[in-house]
Amino acid sequence: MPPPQVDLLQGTLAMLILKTLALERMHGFGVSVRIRQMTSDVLRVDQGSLYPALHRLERRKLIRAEWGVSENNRKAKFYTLTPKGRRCLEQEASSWVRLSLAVNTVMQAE
Amino acid sequence: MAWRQVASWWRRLTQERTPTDEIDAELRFHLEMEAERNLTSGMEPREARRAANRDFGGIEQYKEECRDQRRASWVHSVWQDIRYGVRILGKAPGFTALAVLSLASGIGATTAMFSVTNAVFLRPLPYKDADRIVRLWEVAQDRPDQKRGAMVRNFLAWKERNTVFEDMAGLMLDHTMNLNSDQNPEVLKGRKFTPGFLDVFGVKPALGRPFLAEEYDNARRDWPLIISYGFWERRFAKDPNVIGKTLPIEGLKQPIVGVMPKDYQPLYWAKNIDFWGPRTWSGANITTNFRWLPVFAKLRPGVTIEQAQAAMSSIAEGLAREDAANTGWTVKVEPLYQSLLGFRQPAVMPIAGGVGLVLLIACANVAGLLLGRTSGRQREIAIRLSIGAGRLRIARQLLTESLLLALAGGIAGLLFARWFLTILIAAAPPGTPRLEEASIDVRVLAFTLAVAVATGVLFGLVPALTGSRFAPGPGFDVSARSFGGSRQRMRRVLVAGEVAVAMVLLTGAGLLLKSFLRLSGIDVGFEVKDVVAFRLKVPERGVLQAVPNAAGESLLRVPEQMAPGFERILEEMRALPGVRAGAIATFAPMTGMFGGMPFTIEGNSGNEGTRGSQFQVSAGFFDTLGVPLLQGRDFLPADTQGGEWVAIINDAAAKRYWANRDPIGAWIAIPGTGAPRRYRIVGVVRNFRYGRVDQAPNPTIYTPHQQQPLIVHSSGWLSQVSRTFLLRVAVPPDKVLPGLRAIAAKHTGNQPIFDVQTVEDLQGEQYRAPRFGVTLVGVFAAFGVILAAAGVFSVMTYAVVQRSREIGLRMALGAQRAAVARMILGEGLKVAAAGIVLGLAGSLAAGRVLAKLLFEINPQDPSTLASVSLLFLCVILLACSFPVRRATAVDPVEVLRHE
Repeated sequence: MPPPQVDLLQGTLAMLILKTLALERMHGFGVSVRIRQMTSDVLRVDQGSLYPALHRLERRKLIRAEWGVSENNRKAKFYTLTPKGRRCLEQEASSWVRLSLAVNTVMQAE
Repeated sequence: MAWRQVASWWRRLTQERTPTDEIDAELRFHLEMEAERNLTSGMEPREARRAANRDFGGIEQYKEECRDQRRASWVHSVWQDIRYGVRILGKAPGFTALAVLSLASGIGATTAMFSVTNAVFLRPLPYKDADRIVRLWEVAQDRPDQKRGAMVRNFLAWKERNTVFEDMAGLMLDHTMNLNSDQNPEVLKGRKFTPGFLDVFGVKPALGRPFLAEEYDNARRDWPLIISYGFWERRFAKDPNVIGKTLPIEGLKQPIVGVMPKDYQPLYWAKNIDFWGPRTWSGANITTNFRWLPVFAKLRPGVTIEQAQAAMSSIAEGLAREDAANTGWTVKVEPLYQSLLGFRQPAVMPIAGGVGLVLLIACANVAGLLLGRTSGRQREIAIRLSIGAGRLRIARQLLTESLLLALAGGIAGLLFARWFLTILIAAAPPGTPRLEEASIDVRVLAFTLAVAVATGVLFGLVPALTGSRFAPGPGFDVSARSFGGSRQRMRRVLVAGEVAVAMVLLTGAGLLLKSFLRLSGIDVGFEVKDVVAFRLKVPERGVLQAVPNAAGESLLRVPEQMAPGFERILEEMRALPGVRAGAIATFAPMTGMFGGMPFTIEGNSGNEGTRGSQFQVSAGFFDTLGVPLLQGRDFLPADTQGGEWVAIINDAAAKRYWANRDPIGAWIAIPGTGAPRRYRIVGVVRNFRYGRVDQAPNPTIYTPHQQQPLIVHSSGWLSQVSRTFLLRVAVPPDKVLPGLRAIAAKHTGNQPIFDVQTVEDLQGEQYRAPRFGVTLVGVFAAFGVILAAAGVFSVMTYAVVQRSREIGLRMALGAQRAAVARMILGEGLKVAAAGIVLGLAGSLAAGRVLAKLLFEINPQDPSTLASVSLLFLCVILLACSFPVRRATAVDPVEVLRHE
């Protein structure tokens, strides 16, 4: 039975994608696999949200796309983080930390 | 091939960014990878693929989403902006109309001004290769700003010795001749030129031919004519056989050999030139030292003006060495443009400045209106921002609206400009060259477009940027109205600026008005009303005699019968019923002032700098004009050629040169060609302004015109054979004119009288330019005041509406209506004060710009500044009165209920 899905807010998904690409240049499929791997299958990115998010990030020039050849010799579109994307990632990361701390505090109140 | 490139370019521009095939490829890759994974984890191939597809969800739906996410092409989104902008503007017709009208007036005035500037200054001169044509002047080295025409023999030397000019020619201006005819005698105005003139200006006659070399012959009496197109139309009805016909002129028949082209512009934009004739020199004119001939030349290709100047300066040096009369004189080479238009430019500046100011006020007004509207659109903008529109996109949308307004204003402005231009041309003072040709042509249209776009950006940028800056955070209440703060302040600043600029315009108009009133209030010192002036010329030909003088020079002389002839004519004219008095003078009144020429006072040790204007008049001149005699006597009929040579001076001369002595009986000597002539002073008259209204009278010496030395200068202007008659009439001038014409015809063999005008009209001409300036700036000022008042009104009204909640609260808490009124009024006055103070500063600066145009008025005239400030205070108070009333009419209960 698949683990309960967690709904990701749009901004959070973008942040995860940026982080994934910060680690390594990869194509869209690779990003979705990597996120599942890293979260031990807790977060499964719905492909219907992945690609729109990727294109949004590309439009905002946070990631850069180019066509290349995948590990099994197929043509695929690869994404890389731009410097602007790197800066954005840092900002988002620190906001996220603050936010989650705040939410935790409230939830732990008696 | 090229077509395909264009097609693909177009496609790229108008269509979506990422082609669908790319998305297909990317998704297909993902699906295949997913299917592979399913395979490796144990699924059947078909099952693997189906699972992958299922996981993916609706592909098409996704592709649709992707497409929505893609950035639409640039052109597409701009078109969207435009459509949206038009809809939004249409929803607020009052605002749109007001804004467009404001802009139309500003842009329209600017366009009209540009059209005039274009027609007069910017267009190329109507001559072939005009940038290579120059005018040559002689200047004295110790007085380089006084340019003079050339001495004839210098001109001939220049022409012969220079290597820098392709061609050079002299032009004699203002040559008048009488056309005899029983039915329709006419005075013809024309010019004469030397060989090469037509080549310098690149002109070929439209009909016929230029003069042949042998036709440039001074001895020939019946010299040929080239007539003007206008004359050909008028007198010959464009008869194609006009070549070879002759004109009966002063007893001779002169043949027509050519007709000038229709578009030829006589130099200096002279109107009514009828003919051109050939001229050359021999004998007497070469020995004269008079510097009068206008000389034009065409540079050789590749030669610059500096090179030409250097070459001519060295030629001048050579001439100075050879000829004592040239000592201290040199040559100045001036581009034709400078010669024809250079002196006009200063007058244009204040008007162009005034127009620019009106445009500025209009822009500020519209910017303020837009700021106000942006405040009202907060809700719409907030919503758009929250659903993901970028800030830049919103700013672009707002800017597009501004540009739409500006373009609409531009189109409306063109209509306004046409109307304004017609008025400008009709009312402008005469003598402005090419003004009538001002029109809305392609260049002007391009200018209007540029101005519209520039103003759109100017007034639209700030509202666009501030409007989009606003970013709602979580939990934001869109209906809160407290955001107007900084925007309101900006509007107030704008309005204060408008008030300041409008004040500057009004002060300018006020100063010009005062100056004009002072000018028209001047007492010219003689009776201007009921005096008719006209000129009469007797035939030159067959009349002048060549006479050697003491120095062996050969001079042209008018025989003695001539002057008494004029007197006889005058006698008969005086005797006509309706004529009260009459006199003769050598120049007509109100046609300009002549500087003083030197003379010496006998018995005076220090005679440097004694200068006086010199006029020749008949007996009865002072009487006809109503100028009283202060001392001594008037000229008598006995003061003729044979009698003692006498002179009358004016009071200014008496006070300046005979301060403590009686000038009556003193002798003065006036230099001329030949030995100075001695005159005895017999009378002193009161000062009067004969030549120009705005110049105080110089010391002036009057001598009887019959005692004039009988030398004719070839320039025609100073010709002794024409005289101005001044008659004081008791009936309307048209009643006596036929009688005058008859008398003139009788005595001169059918010569006509010409240049008939009343002295009153001549005086009126001198006021045309200042009157025009006042009217123009006055209109601008009126516009400025109205716009500024409208600006104040709209800002204050808006503020009151926005703050009605606050006002309601205050009232509910006990504030009196009067206190509320005072509060609102106070704010209005703060804006007014800021504007007026700024305006005063601006006015002081503007005064300095206008100083040249003002007549005896202090550019910082305090009474004007004070009255303008007061006026503005009243206007602003008036503009505030409605908002104040509205504020006091707020019903607190009503307002609070709406919360």
